[in-house]
Amino acid sequence: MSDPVRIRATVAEGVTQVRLMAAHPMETGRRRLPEGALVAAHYITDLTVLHDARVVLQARFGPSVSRDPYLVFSFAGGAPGETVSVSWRDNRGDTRSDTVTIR
Amino acid sequence: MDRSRRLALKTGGRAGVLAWLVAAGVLPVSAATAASVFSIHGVDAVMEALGAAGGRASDAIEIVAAEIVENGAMVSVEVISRLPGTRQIALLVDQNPTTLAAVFALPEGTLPRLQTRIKMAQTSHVIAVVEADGGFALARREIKIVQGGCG
Repeated sequence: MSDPVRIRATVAEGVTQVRLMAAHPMETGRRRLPEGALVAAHYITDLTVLHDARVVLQARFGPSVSRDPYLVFSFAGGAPGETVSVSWRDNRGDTRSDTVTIR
Repeated sequence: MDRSRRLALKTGGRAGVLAWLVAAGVLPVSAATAASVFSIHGVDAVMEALGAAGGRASDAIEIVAAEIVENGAMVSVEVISRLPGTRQIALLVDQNPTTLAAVFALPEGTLPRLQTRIKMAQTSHVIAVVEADGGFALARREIKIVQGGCG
């Protein structure tokens, strides 16, 4: 089981800013161990952010996104107590979904 | 009206349609379909796959990043688009083994500005390709890398 996505969602002046970091190795499949063996590709391919039930960002990643993908973006609306959820899926089919409350 | 569907149909790009099919649950996200655009090499070929061939440089798109970055494994990049109706932002790195780093679909209400971190194998240009009301436009910015992060 992977670690939770760290999410912070804060609203100011009618705009909600979302900052998130998804714990993931984001292996490209090109990296070699010191003894020469290739590390298999393992990276998030899809990440979706919801405000309550509405999609506010849909991302597709390749292996060039850094380890522990980090995103900052904002959407209009949102109020304290409403939720922001982040779901991802990786190239092995693993998934993870986490939710926070807007502050 | 389902905006993502309309967008997918309008762009007609293979990537857009696939993304919509996946989002709608019509297609399972298999590594093969989700990875298709990402396996294409070269800026021009990726632009074409995104439906963005012929996109013009625009100074309404800004890429905020350091000029020189010590560690190519973690390069902070922010894209700000002032193009009305910005609905998609793609990030490309011209010298990376994988040209396309990420594609972001921005539904109505999401501000056309986002920040993320990407890997860069060596000094190269980062290209932000933006789809907006007027079609596709792009901006590029060189970032010098001291030590490459396996891209």
